[in-house]
Amino acid sequence: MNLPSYRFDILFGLTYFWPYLPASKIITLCSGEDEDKATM
Amino acid sequence: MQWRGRRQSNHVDDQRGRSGGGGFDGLPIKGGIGVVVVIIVISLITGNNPLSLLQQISLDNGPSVSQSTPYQASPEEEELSQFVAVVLADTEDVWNHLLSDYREPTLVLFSGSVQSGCGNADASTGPFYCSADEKLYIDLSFYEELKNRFDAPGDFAQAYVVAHEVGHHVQHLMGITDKVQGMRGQLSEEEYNKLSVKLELQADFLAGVWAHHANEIFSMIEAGDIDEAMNAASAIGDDRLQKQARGYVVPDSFTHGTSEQRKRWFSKGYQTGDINQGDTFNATSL
Repeated sequence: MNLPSYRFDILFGLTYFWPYLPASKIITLCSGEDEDKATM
Repeated sequence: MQWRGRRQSNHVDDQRGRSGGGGFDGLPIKGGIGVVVVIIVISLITGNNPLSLLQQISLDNGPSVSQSTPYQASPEEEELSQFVAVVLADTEDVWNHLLSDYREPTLVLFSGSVQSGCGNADASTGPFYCSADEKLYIDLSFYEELKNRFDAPGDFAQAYVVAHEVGHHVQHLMGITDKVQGMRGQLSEEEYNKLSVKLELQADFLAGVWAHHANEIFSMIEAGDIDEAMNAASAIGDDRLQKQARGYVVPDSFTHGTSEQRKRWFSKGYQTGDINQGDTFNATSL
């Protein structure tokens, strides 16, 4: 299967940046400063 | 709390001094992009972090060069790491006693940043639980913050933090966490926040249930301990934190409950010791 090269870039980028995507499943002890800022 | 000389859990993963970065540095990937594609597909099916799988492959292919430096903890921090290992052991004993099919979680100690099964996090995230890998994460420097910034000193305040996160693990085992998180995206932000508050107050309640039974088994609670936990629960209430940060509160944005609610649900768990009394989702009032 010959995938266009840009698809490699997308796949690589998806893998590389996966850990930096919003970690929605993290359950914290209390609301943080970021959360406060987001809702201001 | 009486803790010295007592059993420490062996489910503590000490990652202090390791970087929690998310790159490919030091990962000798053999097989090229095809392997990456397969890993992404497997990850999408299983819900696991593809980088974790890549790291596993890297480990299976032989030792990689690590850049980590030996972590130098102060004597106080070392003592703290022993303390949380005792608290975790207490939670294992209590929850194994209360739940027939309890799976013991792992406590990850980290410094600076860490890569969890739920993504990267750093010390500013505070202690947290990740249901994807069934681990709780604590940067022990948080306890300094708990004492100084939140004005919640005391060893039982520290124990409460671990017990609260283990409470989230219990919720995960009961299928409650997945149910709540599955509602994200189906509800408005305000409605989801209300569910989040119920989840958090139940974790406080379960921390209280733990304290009740741990004391029955070990008689380890000393005078002032429960006040320390209640003070900590109160110190991290949404209203208190928002008031400190902004000078005013926005109740619709609460995700963890007010100081009064957090204190009350912990207290209810401690007083009753009955997990059936902690249905915050169907409570007439929180």
